[in-house]
Amino acid sequence: MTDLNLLYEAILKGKKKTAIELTNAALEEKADPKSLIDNHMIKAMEEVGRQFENHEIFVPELLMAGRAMKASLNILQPVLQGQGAGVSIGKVVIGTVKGDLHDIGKNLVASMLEGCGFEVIDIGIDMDSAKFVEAIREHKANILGLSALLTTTMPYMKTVIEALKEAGLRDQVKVIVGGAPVSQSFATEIGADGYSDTANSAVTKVKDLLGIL
Amino acid sequence: MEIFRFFDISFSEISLDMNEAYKLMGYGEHTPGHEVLNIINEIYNELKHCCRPYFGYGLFEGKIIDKEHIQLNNTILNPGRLISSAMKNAELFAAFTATAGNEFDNWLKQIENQDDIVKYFIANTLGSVIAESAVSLVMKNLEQFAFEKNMCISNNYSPGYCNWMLVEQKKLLALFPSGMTKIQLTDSCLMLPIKSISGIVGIGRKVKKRPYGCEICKMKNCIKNQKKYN
Ligand code: B12
Repeated sequence: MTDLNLLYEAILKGKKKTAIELTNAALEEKADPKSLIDNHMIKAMEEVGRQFENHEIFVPELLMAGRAMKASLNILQPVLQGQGAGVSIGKVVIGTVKGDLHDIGKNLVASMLEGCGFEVIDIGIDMDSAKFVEAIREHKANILGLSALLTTTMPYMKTVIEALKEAGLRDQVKVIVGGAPVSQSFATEIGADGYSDTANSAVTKVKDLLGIL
Repeated sequence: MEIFRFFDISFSEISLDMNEAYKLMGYGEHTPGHEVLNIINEIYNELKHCCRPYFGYGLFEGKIIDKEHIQLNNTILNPGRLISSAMKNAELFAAFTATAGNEFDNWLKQIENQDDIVKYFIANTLGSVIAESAVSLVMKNLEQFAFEKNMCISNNYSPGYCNWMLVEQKKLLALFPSGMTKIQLTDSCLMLPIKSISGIVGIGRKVKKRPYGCEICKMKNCIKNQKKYN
């Protein structure tokens, strides 16, 4: 029998190869994929988040855990889909707004969300409102993440929110914003639903917005 | 007067400030463990073959017109109050660009396609540090130039900093003969290659280097300010 604590450990320590091997072994032994995810993998990511908040681990280690988690999820996804269930707990479109190319923070948020079970469509940098609207429509996303690192590009987040309204999509998505110069008060001012200043709290915020906490 | 100096260097000639890199990776004052250090080294070795940093500057006569404007040759820039006052007493102005280069951008795209977020994150942050290290070389060069003339240099300031509008990047880059900087501007005034930095520096006998950035910046969320606010 596969020791599933080892799967927890592998994800916690970011050991992608081991995580893949253990996930495959567990599946062969007919383990329930949903239970693997809920009782072991997500638990590991929660512990990763806790250690990150306490400065026991740092961004690269966080990403290594996310990478291992994603690899295991990729194996479980087809199985779950075969059973008529989905792995994704929400669909996120994320991007850096027009006029801005800073993407390090945005990428972090994207991979943390992915590691925590969201389906993430990262549309990249320097994106205009039409592209965001198009991506939300195409992927039927329920969360939109906007990133801006320049004070001159922050106001464009409002333009995107206005474009969502015009396209009749505003009620369909929760908008979460972030980036070093962005603040909670700015988020409120432009009519965003949420704001977060770290990749980890972004996950909590998104779950909160979707009512899955 | 109009002098242009540009340098095409190999990756090994640039001394990367690894502590800056670790900071940008979120380590604060800590250093990465073995496993991450190994990945960093691996990427560093790859970079040796595919990164050619390029940087340089133009020197222009000019003057501070009023509290917000500076004239370089016939170009009037509007960098705002903070930057204009930091240029006080400048007799000469340098406009500079520094870039990790197109090769780096292309290489990073390949890494992105490998779908390995850890490697991509580290490569991405190293690219930023390469661009910043190239700016340090610009500053060293300018310091030497100023020293020989008994002058001092100010800090370097970029469009986008301290309320200097990014659109001014157009005027700044137009100061250079076409093709010289190897940088192009997008419609939204961003520079390509992505890992590029542009800016100005004041030079003069009575110019002072004022504290900038981390010393006076109040940006609470900035990765470099973690120590100050945590
Ligand atoms: C790295 C960097 C660069 C790199 C770009 C790297 C890249 N691909 O992203 C380089 C060196 C190329 C660069 C260039 C420029 N930069 Co720059 N850059 C930075 C720097 C030092 C760090 C940004 C960073 O990556 N931080 C680390 C990440 C992890 O943090 P973060 O981005 O804040 O993200 C976290 C949170 O904000 C949040 N978050 C972020 N996005 C999102 C999204 C959502 C949905 C949520 C919920 C949360 C969230 O979670 C993240 C994870 O914890 C900042 C200074 C700073 N410390 O912020 C300047 C900074 C952003 N740059 C600045 C400027 C102006 C520029 C230039 C325009 C300067 C110039 N004229 O040359 C150029 C533009 C280049 C071009 N090609 O046109 C200014 C912006 C000023 C302002 N406030 O308007 C800053 C603040 C520097 C300064 N001294 O003033 N830059």
